[in-house]
Amino acid sequence: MIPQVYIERWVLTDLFALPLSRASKLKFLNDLLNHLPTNHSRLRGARCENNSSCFWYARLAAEAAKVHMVRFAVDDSTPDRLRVVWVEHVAG
Amino acid sequence: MLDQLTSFLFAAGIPRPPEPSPDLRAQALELLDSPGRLRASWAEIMRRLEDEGFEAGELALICRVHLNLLDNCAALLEALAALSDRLRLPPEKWRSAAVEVKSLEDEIRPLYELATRKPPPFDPAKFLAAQRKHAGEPAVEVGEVLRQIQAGEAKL
Repeated sequence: MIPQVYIERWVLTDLFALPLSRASKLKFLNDLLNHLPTNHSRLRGARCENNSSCFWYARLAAEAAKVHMVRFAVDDSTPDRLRVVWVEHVAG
Repeated sequence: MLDQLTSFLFAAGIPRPPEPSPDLRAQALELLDSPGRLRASWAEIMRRLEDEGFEAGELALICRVHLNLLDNCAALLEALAALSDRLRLPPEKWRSAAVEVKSLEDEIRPLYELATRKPPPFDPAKFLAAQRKHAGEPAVEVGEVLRQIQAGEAKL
C-alpha cells in the first residue's frame, strides 16, 4: 500500500519562505506527493543522525543556472503515513 | 549510456576469435568521438534537471557513471596520444577530445559533491521549538496543500 504524505505547518512555512521560484516549490510539493511515497522503500535507508524515526529525502532543481538542493526529514514511524517534519535548503 | 566507448571497455580482455585486420585508425577515431557523445548525454541530464529535477541519490549515481566514463576516456586518450603518429590521428581532434573531457569533469564534479553532501545531524532543539510554535496545528496532507495553492487559498 502506498503511504499518504502529510506535511507539518512549520515545514510549509519554511518551504514557502525559501528564496526559490513558485515553480520550483510546486515541483518539490509534487515530488513529496508523487515520487516520495512510491519510492519510500528505496529511500528509507538514509536515516537521520540523532533521530532514527526519520530519513532524509533530498531533491535537486535548477533555477537561473544555479542548482539548489532541498532536503526533507520524513518520519515514517507510523505505517502508511509519511510525515514531513523538517526542511532545509542547500544552495549549489 | 552504453556508447561505443563503454562497449569497448566491457569487451576489453574478452578472448575473441581473430578478426580480419581490424581498422585500428577507424576505431581510434571513433574513440575520439566519445567525449562528444558523453557531452550530449550530459546535456540531456541537465535538461531533465531543469524540467523535472532529480532525487539526490539518483543524480549522484548518474554523475558517478559519467565521471567514471570520463576517467576511462582520459586514460584512453593518453594511450592514443602515444599512437597518434602511427594511426595518423588529427592532433586537433585529439586536443578537442581532451578539452571536452576536462570541461565535462569540471561541470559534473561540483554537482556530484552537492548531491552526495552529508546531511547535518537532526537538531532536536530546533524541532521542539518549531513544534511548540505551531502547537495544535495538525499536519496537512500534501495533495490538499497543492489543491489549496491551485485554488488560491494558500499562497506560495
